[in-house]
Amino acid sequence: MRLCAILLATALPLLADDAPLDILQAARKGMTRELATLLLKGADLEARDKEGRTPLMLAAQYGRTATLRLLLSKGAKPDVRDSNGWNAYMLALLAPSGGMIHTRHNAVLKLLPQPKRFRLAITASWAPGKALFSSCFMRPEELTRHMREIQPDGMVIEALRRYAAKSGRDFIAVVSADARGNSEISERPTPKDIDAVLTLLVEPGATCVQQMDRLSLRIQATLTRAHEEKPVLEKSFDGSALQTGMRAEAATNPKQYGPLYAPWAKAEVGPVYWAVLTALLKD
Amino acid sequence: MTASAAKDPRQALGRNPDRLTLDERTALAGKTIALEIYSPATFPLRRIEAIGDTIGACIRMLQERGLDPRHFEFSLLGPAY
Repeated sequence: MRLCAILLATALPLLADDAPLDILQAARKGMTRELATLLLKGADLEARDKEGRTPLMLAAQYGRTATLRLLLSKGAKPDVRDSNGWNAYMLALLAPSGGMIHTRHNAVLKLLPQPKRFRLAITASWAPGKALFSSCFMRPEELTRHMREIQPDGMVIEALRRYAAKSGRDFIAVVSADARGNSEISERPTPKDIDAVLTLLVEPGATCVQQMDRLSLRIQATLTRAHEEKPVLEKSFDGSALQTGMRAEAATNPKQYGPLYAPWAKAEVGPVYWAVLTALLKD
Repeated sequence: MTASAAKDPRQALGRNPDRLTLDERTALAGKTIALEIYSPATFPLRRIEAIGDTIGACIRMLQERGLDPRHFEFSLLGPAY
């Protein structure tokens, strides 16, 4: 009995290696010649894997330029979407698991139909969130006044605008941005010719620990398409996904608040940008 | 007989952290305590108002006792030496 099990365990991987190559595997591995042969034998150009991905999507995801070119020339549809709502362009640009950019797939991206440039309006405000909002050096009302001067919401907007212009590959144009402080400034009308509105709630935190202020900053992002009420993205960004964050940042006097929040805001807007783009690209 | 904070950390509430006994200090090492933030206006007594394993636990205890956590600082009790 045990011998049978050992034999089976040894034979199964060998059997798997000998299994006939299908069009999905060939596309994923970039085996262009084999894929052409499979197509000649009548393989389905729009076959789907368990995630609903076609050969074209897999070639795009894994950056197989030659394979992608062949599939497009044979009439593969570039705009179909997988079961998560992603198309070939998204799979080449963004990692399906985390929304990080795949810069090495530039050649693939050039071959696919280009997405539109989205016009985005941003409104941001700040408010003490779930984290404690207290300081060793300032009374609560002084801290609130100090935070109003620092403008953490404006800080995040500015960082996001810069990121969109410099690192965001020009997918999103920020057409209006409004920092509303902590809701004491009256709301300005949102422009009409936009694709979506991004609402950011910036939640600064401060806790007096061992005579130092331990700082935190959380961004709650809500994205709503124009003329729609239901948000397409609702997510919190608190730096936990970053290697560097505010976990160890501590201010020893009030003047350090702004300089400590600013770099964190800069580091966190990247994930915000890609999450927003992913939501916009999804149909 | 007075209950010792070494056996029940809650017994440390209201006490000055510098006046804990050696046994209590050893037993409570590693705990986080909340003390009212000093200001010349309020001139608070230096006494433990909350004690817990984490800052979050201290904040919860302060809130349970009807105190505003924003007026407190948090410290880690070190071992006695």
